[in-house]
Amino acid sequence: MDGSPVPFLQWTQVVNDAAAKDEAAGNPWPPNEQRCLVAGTMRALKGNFPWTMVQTEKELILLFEEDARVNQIPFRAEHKKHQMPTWYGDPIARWDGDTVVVDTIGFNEKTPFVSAVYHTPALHTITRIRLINDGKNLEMRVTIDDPGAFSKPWDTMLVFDRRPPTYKLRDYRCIENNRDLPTVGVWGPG
Amino acid sequence: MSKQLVALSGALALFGAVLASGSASAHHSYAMFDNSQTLTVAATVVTWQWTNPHVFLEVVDNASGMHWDLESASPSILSRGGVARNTFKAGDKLTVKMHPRRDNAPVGSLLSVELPDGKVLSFEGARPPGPSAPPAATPN
Repeated sequence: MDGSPVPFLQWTQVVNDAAAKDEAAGNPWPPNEQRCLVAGTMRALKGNFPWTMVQTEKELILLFEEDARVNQIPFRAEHKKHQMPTWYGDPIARWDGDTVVVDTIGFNEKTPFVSAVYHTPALHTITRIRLINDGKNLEMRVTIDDPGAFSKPWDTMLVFDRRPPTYKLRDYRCIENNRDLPTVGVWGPG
Repeated sequence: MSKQLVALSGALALFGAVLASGSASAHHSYAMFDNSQTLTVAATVVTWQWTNPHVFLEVVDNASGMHWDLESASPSILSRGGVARNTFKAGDKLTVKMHPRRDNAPVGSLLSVELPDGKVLSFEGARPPGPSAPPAATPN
């Protein structure tokens, strides 16, 4: 977030550089979305589809227009004792003043950040979420820690526009007529 | 609960459109298109394929007879801009602008459509705002 480079380890640097080279040559690596797979929370939030955040007594719920996906984030003090790596991991939330702090572990390795910033199941994210600009925007400050992929923790920040109350999520089904699937396959690194 | 993150009444809010962290990501990269080249083609509609994940406008170049598949965004995104399932029909005469694929396949990223009455429908807003380039400082 301070403008310094992402602290890649050698292997993640190599992968990212290879993706950048192919992108520049007009041969972009297919992202999860192109395969109709879960993009991961951060990439889904940053995508060109809108999303909704629902707050209840017990949890935050992220509803994504993209394939109507759901990420439930319970207000809970501790992670599950037995983690099984998943696409969204095991997020838990708590309040810190006017900010919700979401602590997530338990990711699988299949949700690289844009463009090809890969991580491992050791990924641990802490996301601080708050309203800014009199509620017109939502800010997310994310600390990313993964000793299997990065030499040290690093930060990034996302800021989102609030949509008008009449704005609705609409139907989107990636699989309906995905002409790319025969060539990009289901999943693979790169 | 006294604290509300998403609204003061009614705990629901919609968000979208990244403001401060680089370009939005899309269903796929647009790097396969030659964004430095814009083709303008007088064409006739073959079909207007209103499907996910991409809507396709298939046209035939009136001069060369070449069949073009012109890709745009999803129905959900286009419909917010006023484009609909019945916006075009087979046989319509149009002038389309596109960024063609770099590999010379007869496929393009649809930029705009000019109707016979001179009205222009822009599809550029449905494209991601920039290339999904790897991060220079933070992940995009």
